[in-house]
Amino acid sequence: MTAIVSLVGVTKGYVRGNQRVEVLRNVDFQVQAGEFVVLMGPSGSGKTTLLNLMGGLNKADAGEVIVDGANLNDLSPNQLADWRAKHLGFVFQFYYLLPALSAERNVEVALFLTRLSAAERRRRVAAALDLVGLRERARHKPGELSGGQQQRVAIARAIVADPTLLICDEPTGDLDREASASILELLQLLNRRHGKTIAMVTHDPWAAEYASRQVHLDKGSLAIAPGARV
Amino acid sequence: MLLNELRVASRVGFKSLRQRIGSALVIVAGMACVVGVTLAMLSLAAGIARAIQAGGDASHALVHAAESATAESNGLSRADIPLILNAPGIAVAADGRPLASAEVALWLPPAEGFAEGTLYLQGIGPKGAAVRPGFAIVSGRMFRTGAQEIIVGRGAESVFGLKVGSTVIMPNGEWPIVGEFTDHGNAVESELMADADTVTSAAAIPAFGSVLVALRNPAAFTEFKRWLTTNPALAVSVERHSDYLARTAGSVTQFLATLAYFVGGLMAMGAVFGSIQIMYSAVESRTIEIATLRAVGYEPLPIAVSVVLEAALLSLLGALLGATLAWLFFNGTQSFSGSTVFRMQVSGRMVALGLVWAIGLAIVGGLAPAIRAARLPVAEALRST
Repeated sequence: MTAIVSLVGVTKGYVRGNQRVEVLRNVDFQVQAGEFVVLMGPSGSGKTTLLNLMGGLNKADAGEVIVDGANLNDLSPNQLADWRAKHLGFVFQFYYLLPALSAERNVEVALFLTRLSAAERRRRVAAALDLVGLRERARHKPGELSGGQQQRVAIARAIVADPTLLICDEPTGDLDREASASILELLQLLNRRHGKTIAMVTHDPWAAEYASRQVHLDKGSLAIAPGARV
Repeated sequence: MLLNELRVASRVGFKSLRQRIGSALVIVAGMACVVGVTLAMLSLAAGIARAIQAGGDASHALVHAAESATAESNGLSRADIPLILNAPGIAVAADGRPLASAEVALWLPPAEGFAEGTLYLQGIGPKGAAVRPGFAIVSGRMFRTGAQEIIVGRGAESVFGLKVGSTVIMPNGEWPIVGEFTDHGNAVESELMADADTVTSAAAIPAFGSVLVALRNPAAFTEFKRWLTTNPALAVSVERHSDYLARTAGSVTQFLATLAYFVGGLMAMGAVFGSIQIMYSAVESRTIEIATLRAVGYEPLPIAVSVVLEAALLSLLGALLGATLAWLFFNGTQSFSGSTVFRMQVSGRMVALGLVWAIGLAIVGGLAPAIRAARLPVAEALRST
């Protein structure tokens, strides 16, 4: 298997007040192509920080973050933006759809960063919405959709540009159990049938069961379970 | 691609304006005030300039005393007048006399019921009407030579209420207004006119202010001026009438324009600070939108430009509103400054200037918030909800 994500000796901290808080300490971690990895751990354990480093939303203080061959620490903000557009799809806990745009326009937002024609963009948006089961709600605005439906639109936006890696930060954290199940099944489908590599943060052991591998973080370090592969 | 990003970022921003309609309207209203007030003040300057300059042309010349800058200082002696009328290049009237008018200026107190707005009476010679091509009596009649009678310009009539049949207090008593005249809507219509000799004797003025001359043709001016200014018996200054009016109007309009820009500038500073605050709060309220676009892969530059564009669009709307209001309320409105009655003028050039100014102010006001938007820490912003 090929490592899509490779973190080597990664350290990351924040300054809060006049104190520096180290969130990740010398973390080594890999995600293989085609994996559905879930990051678990208590609040403040560094799960989201690790996810943000993999997504190029933050830079490591030390160590290397290599995703799909690119060392993210070496990229400028513009290069990082370009890289995210080509290689990443984000799914957030609170969906973060653009409220003024319809579902299809929200999905298309990711395709404006490509050189696709308008017709090709429309075709891909329709396919993505089809995949998440919301083609008939394409013209609806986020406010007219349920939480589960909004998260499906967010997933469609994340996959429409065919990214290398899907990064999901507590994607079911704002949903009831039924909606959560359908979202997790959708992510599983994307992983198993479409070969999407997924890294997901959750604090819910039930949600973690949908992943192919679980990684636990505690106090900024990986807590390796016996026999576990990190 | 950057254009695509800019298009999407701008569309998202504009579409979310509905949720921020209050603060957006503050920018629109602020810029409407800045542009509206500035254009209103500039329309004063433009109206005065137009009224004053409309009366002159290159085929007329004005002679006044060399030591005085204007025709209103009455510095030409009676002995100077025949010498001036003897100069070459003066057009000749049908009766064989030079087409020229020795004139005297007299300032009168404000008309009855007016706290300000002095009346300006021009004593004109027998050829005073003929030397003004646009002059026409529109009601009543012309004053009679040697009679203590006054005619009133249409502008002075409408602003100061000096109607035919009413009287004007002169140094030696009340003179009746016997007629009303027009002169192509220029500043001469702000004046009262009477017979120059009668005015000088009634007001005990020993001299004349100027001689207005119709030249045979514009090219005759050079010789006319040379002859007068090299004549050792005379100490006069000679200008084309159009140049004289441009010069004297210039000082008035320059003052008003400077005042307009000063007041407009002060208001603009207020508007810019207001815009900065509002655009900062717009960026604040759009934090999630901006952070989402950045996370998806939008670059900082188009995000920043979209913020400036939003400020520019709102300012432009405000400027259009201000310009429209200024045009509706002030364009063509009659006003007066001192003795000059004029119609305020909001020109297309002024409106264009207002729009350009508004966009400039929007760029200044939107720049700092735009930079903040571009530098938004994406991960922290998405986490802050």
